[in-house]
Amino acid sequence: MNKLKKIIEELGLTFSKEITKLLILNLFFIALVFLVYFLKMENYYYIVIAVFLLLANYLFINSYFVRHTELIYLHDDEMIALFSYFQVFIGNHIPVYSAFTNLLNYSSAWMKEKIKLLLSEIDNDKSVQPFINFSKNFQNLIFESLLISLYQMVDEGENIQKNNEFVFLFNELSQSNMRRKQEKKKRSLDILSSFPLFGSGIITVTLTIGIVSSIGGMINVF
Amino acid sequence: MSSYRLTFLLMALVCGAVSYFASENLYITIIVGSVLLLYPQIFLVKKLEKSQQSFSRYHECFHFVNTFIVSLDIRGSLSGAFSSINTTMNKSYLAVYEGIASNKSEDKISYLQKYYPFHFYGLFIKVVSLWQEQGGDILTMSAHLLEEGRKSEEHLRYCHDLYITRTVEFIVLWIFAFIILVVMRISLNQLFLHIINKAVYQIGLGLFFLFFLISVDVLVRKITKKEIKGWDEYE
Repeated sequence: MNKLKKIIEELGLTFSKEITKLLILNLFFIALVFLVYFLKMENYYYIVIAVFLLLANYLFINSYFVRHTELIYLHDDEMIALFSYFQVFIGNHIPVYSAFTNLLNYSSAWMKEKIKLLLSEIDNDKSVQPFINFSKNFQNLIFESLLISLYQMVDEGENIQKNNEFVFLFNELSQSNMRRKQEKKKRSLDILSSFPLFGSGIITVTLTIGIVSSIGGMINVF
Repeated sequence: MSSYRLTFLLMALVCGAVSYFASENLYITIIVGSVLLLYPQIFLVKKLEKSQQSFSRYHECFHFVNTFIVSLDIRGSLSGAFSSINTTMNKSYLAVYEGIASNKSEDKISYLQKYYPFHFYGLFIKVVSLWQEQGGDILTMSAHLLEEGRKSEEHLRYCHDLYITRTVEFIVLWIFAFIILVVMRISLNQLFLHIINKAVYQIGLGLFFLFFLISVDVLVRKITKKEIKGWDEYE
């Protein structure tokens, strides 16, 4: 439950409101049970309602985990895009601190907050720790190596070797991210091929039921 | 009328014709035809047009930045670069440029950010202002920027090709589904007349067309998903 609460809050939602929505969903199914009882319907309806209740609860709670995973990827994607802009700045001899400040113009609200925190930590702590703390906001472990490389550029001054190290690490990350995004896009479009098959299935089932009920009707007449 | 509107109009007419052939019910035909006509015209056409505009505007932006940087390197001044580049740009850009032609070159570059609202263009402005402050070789200074632009261009081309392939597959598969419906209607013949008025058949037929509409909506949402950083902020 604590994990779920943490995930809901990271998504920018209110835990109590989401639990209220879940309760309303469950109350709806409980109301259906009472309806089945008072209308004296067949017992198997209880089983159908129970199955749908479990499915609805699972999908509702699982949707938070799915959205949370999407959000993590989104943050990683955003940081990779920002690092490519960062490369433009440091390639033109803008200091690392100023380059981060410039990135605020291209950042989302969440990223702006994290970058501002990094900058304020750098002001008070000249060690590698602020950079490591910043890297912990992202899932991909390569961000830590990139940020340590940036710290070394700050600490040792601009030097070509450190710059090349950063460029190499970043290019690796950028290419693997691009491949991942393209694969993900391809998979998400592949699912469209199944829609016409379902459509054909609906027609086939409909016609089968219609034909069987017509034949059944004819047999009854005889 | 745009090609998207015409395509959806044709889709609604075909679906209306098939639904009448499959149901021989005017009410179902009118409902299917009007829903399949109105929903895409109201919700989907605008999405497609905006997406197409953002794609073509980004390509134009990349061409502008690329050509401008090369012209700047050759001419050595912003005004010289602008006069070179205007001969290669399209009417839409020239219409915007006409309004700012009398401004200073630095102001023109800043103003064009409204026309090219991408992060890529914002970085270009930064590089140009650094060049103005520090001097140096603009081609070297913009190497990373152009590399970034090229990667985005490649990604957009990949996405564009993928969208076309998947849309064609989608259309072909749905055509087969419609053919199945029509062939079953023809081959069942007399038996079909017994089932045509049954509620289960009419609901099934309605579900079939509803499912078709949902799948078209899902396709449009997937192919109009925003791929370009910065476009959102100016919409």
